[in-house]
Parts: sequence; C-alpha cells; structure tokens
Amino acid sequence: MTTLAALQTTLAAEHAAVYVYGALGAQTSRSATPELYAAISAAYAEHRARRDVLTRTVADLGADPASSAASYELPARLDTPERVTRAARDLEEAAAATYASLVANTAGARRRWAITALNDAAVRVLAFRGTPEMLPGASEYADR
Amino acid sequence: MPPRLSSLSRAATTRRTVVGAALAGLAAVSGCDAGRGNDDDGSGVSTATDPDTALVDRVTAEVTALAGLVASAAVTYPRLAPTVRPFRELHAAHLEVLGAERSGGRAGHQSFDGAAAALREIRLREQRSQQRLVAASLAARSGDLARVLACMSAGTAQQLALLRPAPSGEQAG
Repeated sequence: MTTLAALQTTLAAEHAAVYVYGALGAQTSRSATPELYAAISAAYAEHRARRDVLTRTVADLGADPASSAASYELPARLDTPERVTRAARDLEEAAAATYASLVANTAGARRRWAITALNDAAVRVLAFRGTPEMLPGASEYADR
Repeated sequence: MPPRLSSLSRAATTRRTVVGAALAGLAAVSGCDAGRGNDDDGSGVSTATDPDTALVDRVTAEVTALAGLVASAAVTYPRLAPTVRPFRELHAAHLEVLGAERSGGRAGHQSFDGAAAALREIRLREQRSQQRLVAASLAARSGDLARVLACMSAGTAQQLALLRPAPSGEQAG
C-alpha cells in the first residue's frame, strides 16, 4: 500500500468515526451520564481534528481527499449508555488498527503522527471500559 | 498462530535471516502490503533486515532489563505484585513477539527506597520505555516492524494509564 493510499484509507475511516460519534453524542445525556458525555464529546473533537489534518495532508500530496459518505451504518441499538459505550469502544479499537496500519505505510513526521494517534486511541479504549491489550491495533496478537 | 518477529527455534538459520523472513510474513498476516514504510521510496522489507535486526536486539535488551526491574520490585515488595503483574505480562508478551524467551522477567539486584519509590521508579522507567518504543518505531526501516513497535508502545501507554499508586503499608522482604 502506498503512503497516499494509506492516508486515504485512514481519512475514510475518520469520516466514518466522526459520523458515528455524532450519533453517539446525540444518544448521550449530558445531565444523566456526564462522564460518558464528556468522553464522547472529547473523542468526537479529536477525530474531527484528525480528519482535518488528514484532509490537508492528502491535498498537500496533490490528491483529492476521500470524501465522506452521505451516511454510515450505525450500530443496531444505541438506546442505553452501555450500548453507546460499547460502540465507542469498538470505534477506538478500529481506529487503533487503522493507525497501526498507517504507521506501517509512512515514515518520518507522518509516522510519528500516526503513532501518536494509535496511542491516543489505545488509551481512549480504556475510557470506554475496554480492557488493555498487549499490542493494541495488532489484532493478530489479540490472544496474548 | 500469531507471527513472531524472529524464531530462535530455527537453529539452522541465523536470527538475522529469520527476522527478515518473519517481517515479510507479517505483511500477509496484517492484511495489507505494509512492508515499505518509507513514504513511497520504493525500498522493500527484504533489503532492510540488518539495521532492523540490530533494532530488534536493542529493544529486546531494553524490555528484558525492564522486566528484571519489575520482577525485582515484586519480589522485594510482595504486596506490589498484583499492581505490577500487568507490566510483567506485557513484557513477557512483548519479548515473545520479539523472538526472545518468554521468561516473565528474572528479578535483578535492584534496591528501592520503599514500595512507593519502587512504583515511582517503575512508572518512570515504563514511560521512558514507551518513548523509546516510539523512537524505535520511527527508526525502523521495515513498515511491519514499525507497526509492531508502535503497537508495543500503545500497550505500554495503556498500562501506564491504569497504573495506580502503591498500596499502603509496604514492608520489605
């Protein structure tokens, strides 16, 4: 995979993450579940920021940045804080895998940025009641 | 079975050669052509084994030393053992991925000024280790090795986020 293709793949994933986090935020009550609301809001902001960086990076390489879809498939049920939390955890685990792949396909400053994003996603998994892994983002080692 | 970066069981093959072969194999397992990692400079996995082997050796030595430190703290302060167990498991798993023996960390001759100080030392050393794993990932010529090292740093970051202060009432011995 070329660096540009990996960046476009990551950008497409961030478009989806922003969309889904928007839906998760709409299902989260600031008054009833303030911690979850804060965590969802922070994650939403972070993914938007990363999406914007990726868009600029792809454009700087002379390519048309991948555009977002009109809509994305949402988890089937988001009617409880537990289900919202699980959906957010799944998103962050997927983000960790996506950024791990970006690490493999970049070098220098872009790789450093991808490593930071991978680490952030891995730690954010814990905020959504995830369990630590030996190598977050590398599913082939998940049984360790 | 998950891949290793090297396999010492293949006695007829030098470790350097095995690391390169395993790195090439990782690309297939990870589901993408992630071998280059050089921003399209055209370099490939098979030509980049020497510096990466030295990198793997250095990271292995660092993780081994850190495993010894944590084991020593657990032996010196048994009530710390549950607190540091996740780090011991992390080190053992990382060493296995790196192709080293999964020993769980042999206690060294470290001295600590109390359990709280031991835990502070572990936190500090783990933070440094996490930063060195990031640096090693940046230095790796192979994209697959860079990915694994970055994932190791993420695993360390998770454990650091979960690490709590030492339980009170620690006594040496």
